[in-house]
Amino acid sequence: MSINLLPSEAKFQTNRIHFRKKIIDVSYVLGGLWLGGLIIVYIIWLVYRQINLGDQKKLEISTAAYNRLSSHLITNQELRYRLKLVSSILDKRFEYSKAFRTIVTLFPPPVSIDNFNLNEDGTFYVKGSVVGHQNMDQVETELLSINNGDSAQFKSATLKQLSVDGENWEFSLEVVLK
Amino acid sequence: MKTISGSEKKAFGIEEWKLKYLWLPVLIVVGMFVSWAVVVQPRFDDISQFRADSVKIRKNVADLDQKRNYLQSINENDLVQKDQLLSQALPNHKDVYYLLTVVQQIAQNYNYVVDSFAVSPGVVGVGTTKLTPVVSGKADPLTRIPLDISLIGARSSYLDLIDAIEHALPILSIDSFKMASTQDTVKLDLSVTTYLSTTTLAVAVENLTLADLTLTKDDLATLNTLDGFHKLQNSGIGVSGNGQGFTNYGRIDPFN
Repeated sequence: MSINLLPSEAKFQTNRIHFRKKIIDVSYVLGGLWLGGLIIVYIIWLVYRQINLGDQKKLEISTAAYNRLSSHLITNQELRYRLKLVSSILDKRFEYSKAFRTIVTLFPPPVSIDNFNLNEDGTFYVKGSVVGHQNMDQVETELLSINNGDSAQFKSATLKQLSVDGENWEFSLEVVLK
Repeated sequence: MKTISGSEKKAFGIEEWKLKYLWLPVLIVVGMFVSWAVVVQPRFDDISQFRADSVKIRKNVADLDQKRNYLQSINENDLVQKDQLLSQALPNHKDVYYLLTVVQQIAQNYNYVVDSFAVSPGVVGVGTTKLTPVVSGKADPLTRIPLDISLIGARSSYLDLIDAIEHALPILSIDSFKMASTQDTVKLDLSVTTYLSTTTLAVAVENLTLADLTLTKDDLATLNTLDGFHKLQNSGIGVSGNGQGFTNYGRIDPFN
């Protein structure tokens, strides 16, 4: 018995050719798309690289221009540094003249400040005098006002000594500045 | 009986003859994976890096341009004047006679005479000061020169004299003060200190920000205060910068 396989073989061959063509087409498309993708990625990479190189060039130019001003810059920095040193000295030092001028303004006329000394603890020992007990009342009122915290410059004032000779009153105070 | 031909043999549910044609797409897929790992992924990494770098570089360029514009906007003469003012306030070399000269000159302006004086040159030297360092944790950048001096003059002007001493350049501090007075005259025993800045500042140019360059309100206030101080005649000693520089003649200092 013999079987004619020709139509079936031909059909198989046709299928095979079609399949092969389809596979090759799909492969080309896939490969082409992938290759295209690769090229696009590479182009994007090149663009970014170029932008980056351009930015680096700009940075070099700006750095060079900035460094050309280094003498200005160093002077400026030294200036700021020395200003900080000066500021630290001025902040820490005790200004005798300011304190003395403040003490001189302790009482308005006719109260007279005859002498004063600055103690080591920063308090002032002040000697003063007035003529007449009404003016001495004024001194006491002023002391009360200072000790009540009404004075912007003086923290406290304590009467240490008081003497009277006729109408002439002499007093000694211990004064603390704010 | 049914025979299975070569075309009907299957593997993984696919006819074997079809598998023979799949090598190409498989090769392409493998190529895709390989090229992804070897080409695409590194390029994406590079692109991310380029973008990040560019952002950073542009920020740096903008910062540099701002700093450069600020530096260019500074008037050079103004800068030199400020430098000279600070050099007068804080001389940069040691001279034990200088303080005496300065105090003497101020005293003369108020008709006071120097009764006696004592300098302590042993104190002069870098690192001998007891001032709190400006930059904490670092060596004290200031050197102090103390002078004990007695002045005699009119009682009426001693406050002005003290005021002048405290508001003269170089900066002078009065560390102790004693006063003995008669009716019209007064004797002042003062311990006066002047300061020297002998340290050299190491400037890391690249690390400075615009804020580091710009003078603050406090800086300007200090400059303003110094500007109000008395500048003594012939007080060019110690002036640095573009002013008249210090010349060391190599003479022997009897105090050292």
